[in-house]
Amino acid sequence: MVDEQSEIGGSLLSDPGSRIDGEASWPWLASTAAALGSDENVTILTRTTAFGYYHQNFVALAQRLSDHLASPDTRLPRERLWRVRAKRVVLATGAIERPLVFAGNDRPGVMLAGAARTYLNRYGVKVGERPIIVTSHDSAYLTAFDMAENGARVAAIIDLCSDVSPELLERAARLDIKVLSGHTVTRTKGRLRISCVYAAPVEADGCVGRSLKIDCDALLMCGGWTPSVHLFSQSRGTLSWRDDIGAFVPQHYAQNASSAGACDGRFLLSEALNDGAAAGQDAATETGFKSKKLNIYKVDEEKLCSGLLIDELPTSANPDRIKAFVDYQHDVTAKDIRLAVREGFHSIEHIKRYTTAGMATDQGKTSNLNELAIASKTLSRPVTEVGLTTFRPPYTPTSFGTFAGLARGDLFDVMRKSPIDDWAVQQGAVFEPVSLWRRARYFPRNNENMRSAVARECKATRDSIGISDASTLGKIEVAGPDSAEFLNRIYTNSWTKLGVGRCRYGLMLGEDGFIFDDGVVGRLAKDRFHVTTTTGGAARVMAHLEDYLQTEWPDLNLWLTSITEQWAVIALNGPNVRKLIEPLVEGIDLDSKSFPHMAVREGKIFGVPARVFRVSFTGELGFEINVPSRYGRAVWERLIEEGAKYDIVPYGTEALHVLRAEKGYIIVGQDTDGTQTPDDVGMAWAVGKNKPDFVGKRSLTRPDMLNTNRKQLVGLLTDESEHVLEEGAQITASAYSSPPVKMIGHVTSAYWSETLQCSIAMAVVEGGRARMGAKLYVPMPDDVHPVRVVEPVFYDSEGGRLDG
Amino acid sequence: MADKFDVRASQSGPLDSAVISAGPMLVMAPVGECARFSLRIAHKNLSKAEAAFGRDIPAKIGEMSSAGEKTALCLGPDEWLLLARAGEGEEIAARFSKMYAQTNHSLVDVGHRTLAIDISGPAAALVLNAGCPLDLEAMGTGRCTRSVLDKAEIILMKLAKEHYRVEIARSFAEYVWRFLSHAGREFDISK
Repeated sequence: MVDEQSEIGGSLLSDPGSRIDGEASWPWLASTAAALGSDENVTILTRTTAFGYYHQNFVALAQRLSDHLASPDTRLPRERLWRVRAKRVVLATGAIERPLVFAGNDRPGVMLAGAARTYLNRYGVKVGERPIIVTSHDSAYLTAFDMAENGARVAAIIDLCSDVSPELLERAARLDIKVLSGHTVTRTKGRLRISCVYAAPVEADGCVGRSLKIDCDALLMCGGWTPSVHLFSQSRGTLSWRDDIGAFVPQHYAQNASSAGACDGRFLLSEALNDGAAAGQDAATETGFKSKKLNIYKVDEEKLCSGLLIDELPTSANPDRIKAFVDYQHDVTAKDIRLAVREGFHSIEHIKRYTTAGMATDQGKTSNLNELAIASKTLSRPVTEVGLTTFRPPYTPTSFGTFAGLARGDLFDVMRKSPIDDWAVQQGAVFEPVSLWRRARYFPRNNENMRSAVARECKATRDSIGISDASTLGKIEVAGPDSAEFLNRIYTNSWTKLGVGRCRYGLMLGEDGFIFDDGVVGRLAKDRFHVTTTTGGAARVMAHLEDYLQTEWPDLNLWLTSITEQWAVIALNGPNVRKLIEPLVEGIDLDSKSFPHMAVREGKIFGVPARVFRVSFTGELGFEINVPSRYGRAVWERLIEEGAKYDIVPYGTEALHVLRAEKGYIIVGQDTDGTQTPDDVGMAWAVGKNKPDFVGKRSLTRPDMLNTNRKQLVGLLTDESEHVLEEGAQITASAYSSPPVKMIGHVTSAYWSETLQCSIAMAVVEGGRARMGAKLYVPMPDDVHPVRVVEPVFYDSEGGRLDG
Repeated sequence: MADKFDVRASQSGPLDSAVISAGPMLVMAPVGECARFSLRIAHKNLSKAEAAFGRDIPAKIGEMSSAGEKTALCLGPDEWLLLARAGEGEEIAARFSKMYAQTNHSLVDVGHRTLAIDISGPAAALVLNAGCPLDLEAMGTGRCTRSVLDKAEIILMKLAKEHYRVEIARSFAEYVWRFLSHAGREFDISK
């Protein structure tokens, strides 16, 4: 049960005079609310607004938890967003009182009669000592009576209706209240606050007679009641017009819901009570609860209040010269609406946009029907033909904070950290985000800048040993008798002949034939493979593999398990690596013959189980040591300790990028952008020519894929060897030409190579491989940089260093 | 040969420094280390897996069976999570390995892949619901399911009426712990 007020009870909270089943309304309300509150299966949310009603009975609630407290505990949330999927919804949203439209209705002291009654009965505030009531509806009499009974001298009730029920007149007379039936208000006066009202009789022919000045200190108005159908409309229900109450009510329900009481156009208290009970019982029964026999509530001396929908109060003044407000928030007056009609806006949707009526934060809750009535009269068309604007969520303004919830500060997003992250923090590493992970980019020493730190890390790796954290790489264990066949179909390479204990670099394409991911795959056993993926591609690759396994090849007998987080991966590269780890590992023979490049062995390091891959992303002798994650940090630290005698240096992702670029190894996502085929990046060798099929194979033979002028991966050397190109910079064939200049490619990777003492770059260039040795240009805002096209392998192209 | 190196003492994880929060409304604590395996096997071979695991393994998705320190969760049509006491893992793996030739399956050690958080108390469901859309009241005791907790994928177990366990991937654990702590903060406040 959701109520936007601070306590449940609705209009009863402002109505102490009614009697329900012989009991006064407030004691009745207190005992009913207490009984409801003590039910264990009833959740009552007060200060909570149901602001949105979406598909399939999805209702959004904004609960205000601490704003009402004088000094709330800072640990309390201010607001909470509830997302509720209800089996059935009962709407009991009530009705909103309409203001009347007349000259001077914006003066301080003019307010809704119902508001004055709530102030009086609920909060003990009398809004005036000498109020006047102006109304087109009987309900305002109740405000007049309550005010009079609480000591206010009600100056008059000005009633637009000429036909007032004798009971009301009699009770007014008893309280010494003058009733001016068939009268209108033509103007108000007062500085800072209202001081008098001019009331005038309306003749049978509609003419307004001589006005009479009545002093007052408040003017309480009532133009009838509009059922609140906002949530119903948001649920896509349709409305029908009821002439007798001058309002729209729910007609056809689009979702499993019902309405009770005033929001359904049933304004009597007894109707609200009995409709509500019946709707509650229906909902309970339908959702599988048992219910007791319904009590029929009786309200003593109940009388139906009725009234008229008045577009604008009759006046003796020129209606186009007065300011009679319709929309108080956007200062839209009755004459503005008539002007809109004169300008040719005949649909309410257009009138609304021309005048902005109903477009403020209250979304026309008090003004919509008055606006509609004025437009309808001006157009001489029935209200139903002028239309009704759409109610959209939120019902009332809802703060962004409600939606953001906890997602701010360090909960704004997930930051995944490797098992060795803490160590890197202690060493003062500079980090960079790689998908949701953060990775150490470089480890500055003595206030080094990035370039000198990276140069030092690269040099140490080429000279002796570099150590880096590769734990974030995606890893998938593929197990089952059809594992090799599955990999055959997924990768461009062939896997059948890969021996147990050997590794292969694998290239994976999408159905479109473009490079999707890459990585090294090791065969642990005949039926068991350890697949690695890029850091950013891990989740995507896992989904891709599961998709094909489950939907395309359900006949294959194998299973996939993500093991990314099971293993911490420590990559050791450099000529002295073998010497370092030889004494540290158990059960693995490290000499080159028994453990060649591109092989995998299982054993132990420091007594911890390990999967050791002999692979290299730097061109140096390299081992990637996988240990269970909880041992990652300890093994890492021990390796750093043991490596001290070889001047071991930790290196980050930046040095990693430089070292691999020197060798021309691509990074999927940096040197490729989803439009490169294996041949485009010079990896036609990785495509199994004799394989019957693999994902993307067919696409590779489409005419455009065979075009020799496709963008191809090349290396670039700058003429100014110190100048490092900007990644993403465009490449042209001529130095200076007038626009439009044809761009023939772009730089994908560019670094300072400490090893080669010059800047190097990788790029994709149209027909690049046919341009070897050619001079191209990289125009930048400061200058045009000439470059020479070279093979993308800059260092040790024979691969001699892989053996240390 | 390697130097002496105390394996057990040298382990580290993201919730090592998490402070257990215990109040009348909410108790939250990281669960200690245990052996975990992801088991994939054809449904018809389940009895063989039971023999290797040494305990009953439930056949229906969402069911969980517990005996002693061994627990088996059925997560998918051919997918189970097996939990056991730390140190018992090698023995279980060896028994499964022995039966592979006759009965193909995939048993993968995921003991270091995930962490678990125990959360209990009258506010436990409310705090979990801050990030998990399931109707936890409707979830039966002794049931388990895959779900989400805010931005993290979880496996949720309902151990008792007001007692849940959440399994999370290691690198998401810090985030999830912080999320639950924030969501539970209002219940630390004594009224």
